[in-house]
Amino acid sequence: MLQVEICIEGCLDQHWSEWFEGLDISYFEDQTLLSGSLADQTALYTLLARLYRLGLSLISVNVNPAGEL
Amino acid sequence: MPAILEVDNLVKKYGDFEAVKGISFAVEEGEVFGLLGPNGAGKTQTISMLTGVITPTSGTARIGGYDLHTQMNKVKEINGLVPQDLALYPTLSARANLNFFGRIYGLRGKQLKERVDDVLHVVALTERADQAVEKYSGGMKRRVNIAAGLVHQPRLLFLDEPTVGVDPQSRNQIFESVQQLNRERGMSVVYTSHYMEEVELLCNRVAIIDQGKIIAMDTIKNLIAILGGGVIYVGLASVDENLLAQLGALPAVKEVELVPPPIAPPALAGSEKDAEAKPPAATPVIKIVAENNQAALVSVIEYLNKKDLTLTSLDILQPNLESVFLHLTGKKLRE
Repeated sequence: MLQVEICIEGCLDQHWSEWFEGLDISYFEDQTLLSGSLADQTALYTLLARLYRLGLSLISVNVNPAGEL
Repeated sequence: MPAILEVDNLVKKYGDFEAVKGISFAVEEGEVFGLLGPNGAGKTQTISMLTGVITPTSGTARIGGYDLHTQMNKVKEINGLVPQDLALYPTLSARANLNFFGRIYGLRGKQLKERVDDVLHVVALTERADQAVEKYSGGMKRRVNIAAGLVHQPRLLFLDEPTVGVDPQSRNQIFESVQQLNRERGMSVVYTSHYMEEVELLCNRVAIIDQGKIIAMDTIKNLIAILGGGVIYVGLASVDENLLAQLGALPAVKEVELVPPPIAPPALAGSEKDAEAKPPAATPVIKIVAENNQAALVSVIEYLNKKDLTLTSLDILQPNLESVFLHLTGKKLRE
């Protein structure tokens, strides 16, 4: 399992959750934070590629395979 | 534009300790020039030498064409200094403080009154001008401090960390005053800060200073361009030269190198976690300077998956002055 925190520019609606591998969606000012666990690096690749194709701007990505971020 | 300030190899030593190590730069007339660096980098020492507060160990500067060493009286007419520490009489009103500083500069009578009224207006304190300074908020005191540096109409204003400990309203007021003085009166400004957001907002050009030396100097746009589209830090269990070469050849990747883990990789921007240092990863870290951060990130993860290589950590840095500083020094501005 990979623990991830991905911060995206802008506030995404909660209904996007299923697009983002079931990660939790929360908000900080005008940014969206996707956080939680991904099954493996393939899931991480799928997620990052999807964000890129959707034209969503990444502010930060933190991935920790070992545990807490 | 002619230079209003030309600094040539300025050095300040205290015994064996060299606080400023041969700094040189120039500020054009009408420019807002930033000195960006962490606490203790040498910013205040540099400003203090240029305003006659302390004497340089060696090196020189010309201010408005006048020599720092031999024509200090002329230099002081051109310079205004707003020091980091408040230099006000707390029991006196703002107006009385400004009258006092105006008299030091030789202003008297109607001219003094007009100048004091003007600078009170610039810092938006006309309504509270006759109240004792000790009754003011921290931000209002800072604004009086700025007014004191303006009362003799300097052509070049040195502002040393003017927003430290200031509430957001006064902070915005200070930004507006600096922009107004520059735009409407053509005042040149040297602005020191360890807040990159302030420097990005206010300054045309920036010198990044660390451990008494200028490590980079350019327009903000050009400084940020050093990082291309951003930086990615990839931790892996092991790294060899072949892997670095393969990663370097991926789409949207500009440069690849093996580095010590960053001291404090950024977490969520703006969150409390951002300020906390993370323990460095025990595994090797590859620093990837990208032409496009997201495109490079996708291609790097795709490559690692194909090679069955497992991440031990992953962080990205967006291109801004903070990440330029981290890139150049390996540490954060606010450590």
